[in-house]
Formats: sequence, C-alpha cells, structure tokens
Amino acid sequence: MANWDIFHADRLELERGQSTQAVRSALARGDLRDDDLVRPAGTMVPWARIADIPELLAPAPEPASEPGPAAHRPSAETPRPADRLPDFEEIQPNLAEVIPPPKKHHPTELPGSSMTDVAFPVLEEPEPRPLRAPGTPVPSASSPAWVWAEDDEDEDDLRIIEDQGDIEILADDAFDEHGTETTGATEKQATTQPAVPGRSSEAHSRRVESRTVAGPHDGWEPSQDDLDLDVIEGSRSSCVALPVVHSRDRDGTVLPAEADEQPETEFSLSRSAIQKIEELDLAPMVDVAFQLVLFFMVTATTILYKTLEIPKPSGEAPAGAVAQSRSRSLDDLKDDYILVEIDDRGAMKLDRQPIEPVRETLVENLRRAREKTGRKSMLLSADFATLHRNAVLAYDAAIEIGLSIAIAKPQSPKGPAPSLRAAPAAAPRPVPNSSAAPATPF
Amino acid sequence: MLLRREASEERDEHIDMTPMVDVVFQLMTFMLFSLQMTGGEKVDVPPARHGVGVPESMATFLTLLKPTAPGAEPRLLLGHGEGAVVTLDQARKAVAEGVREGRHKVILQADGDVPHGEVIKVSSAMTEVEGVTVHIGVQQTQGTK
Repeated sequence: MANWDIFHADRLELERGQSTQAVRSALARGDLRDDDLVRPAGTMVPWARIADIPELLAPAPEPASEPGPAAHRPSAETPRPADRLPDFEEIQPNLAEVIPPPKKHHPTELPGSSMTDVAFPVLEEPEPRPLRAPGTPVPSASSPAWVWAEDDEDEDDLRIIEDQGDIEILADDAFDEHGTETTGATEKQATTQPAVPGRSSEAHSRRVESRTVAGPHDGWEPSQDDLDLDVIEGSRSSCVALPVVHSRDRDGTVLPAEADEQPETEFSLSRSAIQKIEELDLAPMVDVAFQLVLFFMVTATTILYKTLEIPKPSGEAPAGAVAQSRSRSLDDLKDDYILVEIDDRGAMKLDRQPIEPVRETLVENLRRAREKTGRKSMLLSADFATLHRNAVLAYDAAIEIGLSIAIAKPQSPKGPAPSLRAAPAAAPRPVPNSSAAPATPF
Repeated sequence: MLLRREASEERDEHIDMTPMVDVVFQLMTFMLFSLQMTGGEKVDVPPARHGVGVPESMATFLTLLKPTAPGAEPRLLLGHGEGAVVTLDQARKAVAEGVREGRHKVILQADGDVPHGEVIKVSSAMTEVEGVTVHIGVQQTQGTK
C-alpha cells in the first residue's frame, strides 16, 4: 500500500507517510478535504489535490475509532498512557511490514541553515499528552517547539507533526463563524493543547495552529497589538496569521514566556527617550578658515629689506682732476654740490654753515639751498670716525627732497686700505681742515 | 501676545561650540595683525624714512658689527650675522659668487655706531665687483610711510 504525504491546506500542516487507507479514513471523517494536497511519500513530485486522485477517493471501510489523519508517527521511545486512543499502527497489524516505520527526524544543525531540508519546522515532544475531553481545561505543560523555517516565502513552508497528540484536529464545523467551539464535532487526539484556532467558515483562511501551552490561562492573550481584530474574548482561538506559540529551544528547553519579547536584544523598537546627537557645525569654522587663507593670499608678500642705495664710485676720475693731477677741493665742488659736512662728534655744517643735526632742519636747509642756487646734488663729507647713523641722516634728508648724493671718501686714520682700489688721480691727501679736504665724490 | 513656554518643555542644555570657535579665530587674526615678530637682529641699523625695498632673494647680505672696544676694528660677517668674521677679500668673493647666482645687489647691514669710514671702505670694496649695486640697510622710523 502506498504511502502519501498530506498537506492540510487549511492548517498548513504536513503529514508524511500516511497510508492510502488512512487517507481514505480521514476523508471519510472529514479531517481531509478535497482541496488538501497529497503526493507520494518520499518523493518530490508536484502536489496534487486529493480530489484529483481517484484512488484516495474510494470509501474507507474503517470505523470512526481509527486514529485521525494527524497521525503522527509515534515515538518508539516514548511510552504511551493507557487512556489514549490506540495508534493506527497498533490497529493495523503488520503495519511495519507494510509501511516502514518512519524515521525519527532529528533536526540537523547546519551552520546557517534550518534544521530540515525543507522549510518547515520540526516538533519535538518528549512526553505524550493525556487525552483531554473537549472543553476541559488543559493542564499546563511544556509547549512543543515550533521551529519556523527561515525561508518564509517557500510555499512548502510546512510543519511536520511528528509526535502524536500535539495537534488537536478539529472539524471545520467544530467552530462557528466566531470561532466559538461547538459540541460534538470535535475530535481530539491526546493533546493538552487548546482547541485549534478556529476554522471559520472561510475556507481559504490560513491560520496557523496555535500550539500554545495548554490551558486557557496560559501566557498568551490576544491584545490590541494582534493584527486580527476578530478575536473573541475568552476564546482560545488564535485568529492571527502568525504563530503565537511559546518557543522552545532545539534541545527541548522551553523558553520563558518573555522569550518572544526578546528583552536582551540590541534592537528595540521602543522609544524610551529622544536620542540627541551632538554635532559640531563645521561650516562656520570652514568659512573663517577660508577667509584667513584669502587674506593671507592677498597680503602676503616677499620679505623686503629697506635700504638706501649709495652711489657707486665711477671707474674714471673726474676729467678735470685727472688733467690737473690733483684732487678737487671742496671749494671747487661747492658750485655743483650742496656741501654737507659732519665731524666725528656729530656736528653738522651745510655750505660751511653750522646747522642743527636734526633731520627736519637739514631738510629745510637743503631745500632752501637748492632753491637758492639751483644745485641738485648733495656732497657729504664726513670724517672717518663719524657715526654711520649721522651719515644715513644726511642720505635720508637728501632723498626726501630729491637731491642726488655724492659721498666724499674719508681719509682713514691708518692710511688707505690695501684692498681698496684707489683711483690714480683721486688719492685723497690728508688735510688739516675740512675746507681744503680733497673730495672725490662718487 | 503672550508667549509662554511650557514648563514641561524639554530644554536643550548643550553648549554650542560654534561661537567659541569663531571667537578663537578672531583672536588669532587679531594677534596676527598686531604682533610683530622680530628676529633678534644683531645690528641696530639706522632709521630712515625713505628707502627702497630689496627682496631677500636678490641680494647678498653683509653685516658690519660695531667695534667691541673703542678704536677696535668693526667685524664684517656674511649673511645676517650668523656667520664667521670675514675679510674684505672673502666678502668680495662671496659677493662675486652671488652675482654668478643672480644676486646683483649687496645689502650692507651696518650698525649705527660703526664709523662712517668703515662703511665706505666696505662699500667701496664691494663695488669693485662688476654688476653690483651696494645698498645700506636701514630700518623704518616711527610714523613714516
């Protein structure tokens, strides 16, 4: 007898390895519908509707006492209480010969992958649950683990119900439109679960079976956050299209009730306080920096040294002096130059007239002498020991009024320096007074 | 119109750093303009109101320090006074080297207390090099243009 994999379209459940007889029985009971999908067990052929397979549509001679199609593979290792309904395999003799015992599917931990090769969760129920009459409170027990596949978009995202008694299969008419459980139509397996969330009259509603912890007073209560607003208060039905079961770890450890709230995750949608981000606006700083750069680009200049250019002595002696083989005296030059004399003590004379060694006075006298005589050159005759600053004073005064400068080479007290190149007719002769001092303007 | 701030309104108590940075930059700008850095010149050149500016890269510098004792010889150094004392020949050779390098000006930074004759003696020695013009270094006076 062939085995079939059944996919319940309404509950989105997958049952593997159901015999043809079991399928027929389920159909007869109403646990299966024509719209449910089947395919040969252990194959990957496309799913087909039960209605399209005549073999499965044959009437099932099995009584109603047979176990439901949600059957599940019993765990061979787990003992079963005496008050539970016998399994199909127990009723059917030699079932093991006909149908090979299903393999206990253990989740395989693969890095970064789900436990199974297909995207549906694996249930692990270590202990069987006692039968419970409809409507009786379900004792609290550990809830099975639902491991949802990571690939939620897979249309074969199904759950494998391995352990019998974890699912409470109810007929469609077990609940009315409002999800309220009706009497008589409920057929429950050994389970401590509450009623399967309501099968409304809407055939195409997809609801995930809630495997919450048994009991109407377990942890989950529909709240305003639930998407489905049709929840009837007090009803154990879960009308949301999301799993609302308590999670269980892979090793069977039941996670605490707050596990699904993820208190220790780094990400939280709760807004406790407005996060303030302190930022330093760098725009004004950049603007000021650019202003400084532009300023220095405009004003920056090369380093200049303030200097006074002194005349370069000519290579040739004045013609008159060469011809006469003698130096020209200051008196000879007074017609061409405005004579300024400075001694070693700083006393100043202009055209043999003593003046105050003040710059403004010198400038005024030079201007007057220029205007009076028309001379446009100044001849500076200073002693060798005259301080340099006094000579610069005279230079500066002459430049201020536009006079050209001629400097008389002073006689060194130690004689002329050997490195100096003395002009042949311009050798100065020592003279006792400045009036006859030979001057070689250059 | 009555403007009233709610008591429960949350206040932002952080310190805005932008004005502080602006003030720092303004202070820095002011200091750049007001402060005058001096290089610690070794010579005190005489002041002058008029003068011509000579770029540093176009001149050979000679420093003539004042005599350490009355009657002593003033010291002639190359550059701005950081070199060794040189003779007139060595200074002339340095000037000639500068002329070959394109520096046709000689700036003689003579101290104000140096004898005028010594300045003339050095300047006369430097003018012997072809293509050289001798300048006397001066400094700016107060209130000059």
